[in-house]
Amino acid sequence: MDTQFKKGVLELCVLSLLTKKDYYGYELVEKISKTISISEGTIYPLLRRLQKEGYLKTYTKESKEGPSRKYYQLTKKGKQKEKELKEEWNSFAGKIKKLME
Amino acid sequence: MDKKQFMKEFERNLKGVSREDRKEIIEDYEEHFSIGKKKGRKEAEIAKSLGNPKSLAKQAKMELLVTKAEEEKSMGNIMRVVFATIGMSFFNLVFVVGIFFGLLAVVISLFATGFAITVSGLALMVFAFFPTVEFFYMPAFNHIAMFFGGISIASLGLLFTIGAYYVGKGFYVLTIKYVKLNIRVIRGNKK
Repeated sequence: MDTQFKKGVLELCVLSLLTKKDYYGYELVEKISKTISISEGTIYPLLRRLQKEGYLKTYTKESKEGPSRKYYQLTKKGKQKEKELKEEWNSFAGKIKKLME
Repeated sequence: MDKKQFMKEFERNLKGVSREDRKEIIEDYEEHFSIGKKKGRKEAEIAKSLGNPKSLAKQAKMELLVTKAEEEKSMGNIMRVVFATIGMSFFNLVFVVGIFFGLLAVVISLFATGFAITVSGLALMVFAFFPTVEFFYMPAFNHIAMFFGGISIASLGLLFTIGAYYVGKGFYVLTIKYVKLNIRVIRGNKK
């Protein structure tokens, strides 16, 4: 699929996954790249930006196996943003679907 | 490419990023590699699916520069953003940079005009106090009129300068918006 198109929905994917639970970076990358094929490395700059913009918080937690992991958590602002983006996406996808009928 | 090569290439392209930011950025990828290895993946495989280290580094650097230019508005910051775009291979790069410098020249000349008008107004006001200076060669030369004329010209110049300031500010914000749109859409090649 078109790269530009994928980039646009990446933000929504990340935010929407995080509404269910907190993920660490690797897990998020794994989950997303299973569904859409992207260069996995591009998710980290996105995460950093979302954090800087106040949509995400991070905390580190020790893991039983190996080094401690950085977890990402949605802030209140992030939850709001997710809702907005989801609505936008749904209305957009709906319109396109109608066009193709 | 193994982890060492990936990180080396990545760090090489992070030049100019502050030490703290660089540390934070690098840690994310280090963590990614170590978790991936724990899950039984090979370094080369992880590196490959991460993407091109050079463009990832540029992307990370660009994000930082844009955020900084948004947070503290300065000529230096916006210039760094504009010059960093040159390394990002935008398809319309020459066009964009050309327009940027063209508009920048317009903004600067607006400021210069405002400044010049203000100064000439001030000059009139000052010369009004020196009746002996006859540079207008007018028979009914009125120093009071000259003084007030100077005030109105100077205020006009100030207004013009304030206007130029808002034009400049708008230009700044638009430039950032445009660059953001581009980096968030185009970058990240692979796949």
